[in-house]
Amino acid sequence: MNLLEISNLDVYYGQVSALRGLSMSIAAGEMVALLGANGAGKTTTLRAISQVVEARSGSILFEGTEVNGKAPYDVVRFGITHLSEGRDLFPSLTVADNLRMGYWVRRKDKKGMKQRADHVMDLFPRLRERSEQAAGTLSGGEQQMLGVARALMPEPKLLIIDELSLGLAPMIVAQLFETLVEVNKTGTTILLVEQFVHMALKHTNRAYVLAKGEVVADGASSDLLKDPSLVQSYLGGAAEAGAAH
Amino acid sequence: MDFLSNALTSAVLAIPLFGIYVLFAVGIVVIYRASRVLNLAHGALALVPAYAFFSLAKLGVPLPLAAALGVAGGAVLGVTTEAVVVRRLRRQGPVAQTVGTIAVYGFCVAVAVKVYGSAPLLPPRLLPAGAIQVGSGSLRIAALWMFGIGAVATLASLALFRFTDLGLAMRAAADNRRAAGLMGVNPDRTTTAAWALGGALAGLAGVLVGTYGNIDAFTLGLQVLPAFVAALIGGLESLPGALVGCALVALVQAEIPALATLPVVGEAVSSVGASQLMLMVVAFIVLATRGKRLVASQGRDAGIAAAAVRKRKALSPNAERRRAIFATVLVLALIAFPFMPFVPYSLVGDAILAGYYLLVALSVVLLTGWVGQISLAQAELVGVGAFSAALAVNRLHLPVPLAIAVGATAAAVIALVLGAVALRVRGLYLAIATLVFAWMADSFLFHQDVLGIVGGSAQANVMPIGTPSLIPYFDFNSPTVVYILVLAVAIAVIYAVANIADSRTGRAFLALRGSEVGAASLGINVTRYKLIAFGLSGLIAGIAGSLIVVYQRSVEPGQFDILASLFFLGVAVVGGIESLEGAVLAAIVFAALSELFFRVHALAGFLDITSAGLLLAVLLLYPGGLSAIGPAISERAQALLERLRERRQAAAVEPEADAAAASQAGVTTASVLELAGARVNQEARKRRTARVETDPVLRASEVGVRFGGLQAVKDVSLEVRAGEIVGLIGPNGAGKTTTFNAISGLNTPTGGTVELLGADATRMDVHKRAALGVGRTFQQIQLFPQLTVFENLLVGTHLRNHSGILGHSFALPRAIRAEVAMRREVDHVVDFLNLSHVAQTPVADLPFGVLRIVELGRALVTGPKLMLLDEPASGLDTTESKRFAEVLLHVREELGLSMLLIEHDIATVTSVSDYLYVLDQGAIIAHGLPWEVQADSRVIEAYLGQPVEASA
Repeated sequence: MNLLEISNLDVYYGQVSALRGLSMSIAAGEMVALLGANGAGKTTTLRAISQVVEARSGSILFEGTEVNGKAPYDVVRFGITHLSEGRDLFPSLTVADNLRMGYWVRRKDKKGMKQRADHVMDLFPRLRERSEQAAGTLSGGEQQMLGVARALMPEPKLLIIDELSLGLAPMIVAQLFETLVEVNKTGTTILLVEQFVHMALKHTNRAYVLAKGEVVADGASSDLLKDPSLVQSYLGGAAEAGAAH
Repeated sequence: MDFLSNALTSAVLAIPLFGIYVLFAVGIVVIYRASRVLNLAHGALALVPAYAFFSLAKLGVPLPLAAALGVAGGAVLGVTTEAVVVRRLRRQGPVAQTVGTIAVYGFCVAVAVKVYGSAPLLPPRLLPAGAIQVGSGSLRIAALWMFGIGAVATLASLALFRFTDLGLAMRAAADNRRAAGLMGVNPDRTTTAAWALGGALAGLAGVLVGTYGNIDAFTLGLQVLPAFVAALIGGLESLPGALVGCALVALVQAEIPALATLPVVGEAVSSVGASQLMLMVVAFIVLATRGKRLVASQGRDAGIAAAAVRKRKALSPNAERRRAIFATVLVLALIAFPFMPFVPYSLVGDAILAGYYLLVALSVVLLTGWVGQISLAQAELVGVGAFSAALAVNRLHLPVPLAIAVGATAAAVIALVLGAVALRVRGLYLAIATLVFAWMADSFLFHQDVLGIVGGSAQANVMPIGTPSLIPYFDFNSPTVVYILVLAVAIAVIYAVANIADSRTGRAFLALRGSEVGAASLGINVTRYKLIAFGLSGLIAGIAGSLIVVYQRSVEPGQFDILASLFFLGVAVVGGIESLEGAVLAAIVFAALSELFFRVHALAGFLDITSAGLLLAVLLLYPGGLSAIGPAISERAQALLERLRERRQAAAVEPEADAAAASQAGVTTASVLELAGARVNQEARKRRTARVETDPVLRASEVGVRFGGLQAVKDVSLEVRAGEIVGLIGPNGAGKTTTFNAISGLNTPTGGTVELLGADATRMDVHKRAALGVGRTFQQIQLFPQLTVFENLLVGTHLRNHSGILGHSFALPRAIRAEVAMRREVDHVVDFLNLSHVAQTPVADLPFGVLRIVELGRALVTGPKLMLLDEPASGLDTTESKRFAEVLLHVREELGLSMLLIEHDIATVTSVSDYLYVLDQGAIIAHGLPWEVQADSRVIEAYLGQPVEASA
């Protein structure tokens, strides 16, 4: 059984359709990239999984259980965490409090919380140095580290990340990707949306390419990387630009 | 010595005040953080529990139990207000939500007055009696209790936030609602908790106030205003800040008796309303030192979003003629109306009242609807006009027309004072500032001896005015004559305001509401237009006030209190806050209501309740107001027709989604960017080996910017030469935006100079830079969302259109000629950028990639020689950024512009730039031709991380 099984998903914003019969599946342990031009429906797909937007029809099965129709604040209880684009932190809360919030669903377990906080701060030692600092005062790169760390707090089975690289210098993006690969190796399944196609394909196992709310291509990342023309035809030169990094 | 000992004795008076104010202020801050709403119903959350306590005690319920029930009542009312009003108005934005809380407040006060009357009541004493001796004065034990209860409740709230999981979740949800949801917090629950806490604290304050002194519906609700000022002093978001604010406000108020012994100051301070005067002074000082000169788009904060786009269709000549005939007949009928035999006498009075409401509503529509400046002191402006006109007649014996001019001028001057405050204070903060001003005017200004008010109690303060007319044949004792006067003035004002709406001035107003920085970047002098808006609004309000004096032949302060201000805002909102037609409809509805409630005895006393209820109903059910009902009906009818037609053509079974997508596809960025004849000589540019040798159009020399202790940018020198496209790149936090803002005028350099097109611009205002020939776009697009593409571009003609506001008001030929010429120019730019198929679309409905082009086009309309582009590719996908780069090169080719752009996307920046500067840690670390910079080892180390192949 796949960890995540999306079938025939339709999502509308008002009259405009954002996803049209989208289907995809992710097996446990995979690291999958979701690629596509702006407006292709990448972010909407992630939002539909975490129920931030409601699907009109279709199903999202997570470990065989229907997620569709749940409140967004219930989705994390399934073991799905979602880091939205633009470093979606609690800016006036300290780094430590941001991490506490990440563990909200298991907040009664104070000991477990401390262990997890130690673990994620081992992944990002910079956060330990700044644990009493307000999140809003961190640099862009540190904020994104905190975002990832917070999303890892409840030991998610599936971590979804939107635009990890947004507004970050290429060097920092590379470091973050390496950490994610490490996290993936310890068993966390990862689904990410990324503009830097080259970077994304280099670090993932598999990729889906979306256009106009539908899956137009998918395959092993290494194959897509070898045949940039395929991706390029849907992204209009994105692969080429990605190669610049 | 005397003053000092007096001051010490008086300080004791601050103790109970502080206790009450913290209870309010903590609730105000907690609710603001949870809902981003200024809860103007906070007074009601104290009022209802205070009366509940009174009634329960009367019924024999033990006092502590009655008090507890009162506090619980406050919590329940808070939660109800949130669930029924605030939450449902979330989509309309914070201003609509705040108006919603005003409606709740008005409703509660009206009900309280109906049930308990307006005379003060004395509840039984809950707190122990007695007093202790402090120095030369005495302090009531009850005062100490109030202080203690306030302090304990505040500390308990602080502990809740600091140490509990609920507190953590509340803080998190206040910070970022959506993220809190993703963590597993139900954000609606934390919001409910915040309102429950705020309501309980306010309820506690209400019960305490009731048991300390007496209660009446009008003053109890106003007791929260000092707490609003205190919360403001703390910045509205900080609890410790609010505590400091409460201490300050309580002390200032307590010291008034001591201050009264001083020379000079003492005189003002010993007058009635001194406490409100002091409070206003404190509030204005705090606000003046806080605010910023310009702010970016406030999105939904600005204006009430409900009445979205002003749809104006071009009329055919036939339709225009029909319209003119209709208007003429209507005016004739209105003139003839009082002379008809069967019209009752009182109906003429109602018509005058409707005209009065209409004028005040128009002043609100202009200021709040169009310019987005919330004024909760509109009735006070009307009052200033009324009292000034009355003085002009009584003391100066001026004839009516001159008296009206005096009243209008006086109100305009006072409105300008508020406008000066609004230069630095916006949105909900401005609402508080005007509210505090209103309270001051009610309790201080309108009670000055010079106004010659006779009679003792507040209710009977009537100032008679003499025979108001010195003009032969016009006897203003006759309501018919006054009616004709009001009608003529109302028609003139509507005509002028409607003309302004479609002019350079009107567009500048809408631009201010949409985005102040966006407006300034187009050369609009934000200061000037804000003041013009306040002045005009004050003028109209003053005219209304003068007219009502002429009609009533007397005037009393009670007519122009805070509730009246809230009522006038309500009239405008019920009509549709942006709509002139709506103002007319609402004025008639409210005048008719007041006649109805006066005539029908069974309804007596229910007018205020009904007005507040109507406001609530319109907000919740019909947020566009009365003016939106007509279009909504016709839209529904059209949809129905369409459905019928579709049913007939059942053959073509196209899913509606595809149809919508297809219409969307019509306006993709790509189609906008298919530029005819875009011949861009890329190859020649790539082969270049040295920088062009033209004169610089931009020269920044050793620019430094310091924020507080942080040196953000140091000694940055860069140049853009004529005809050149220069890129500024660097890692996050390198100081790119800071440098860019120093060049565009959004922050002032602390060192160095900025020279633009040969002029020293280091300290020049943004709109003056635009006049020099500097255009700019923004990373966060600053278009005016309610306007169409064409209208957005039309705002860009501001600098080149030299017609004035008088010309706009009366549609003089010169103004019309200028307007026609400007529209033609916009057409050219629309064609040039291939935007014609989206020209009439509101920008809110367009895809992001197109918006970038529209914003570029709007800057081009100003006729710039230098363009500043802030991350133009951000938010665009690769195809879109590539196309956008082509547009930039095309624009440069055709118009010969120079450009400076900040960019993150290396591919884009290297593909368009002739020259690059690289910033790192606030300093330039490299500059040169793109290929030189890409090979620079310092750049690779600081930014790129690995060698970059030249692309595109």
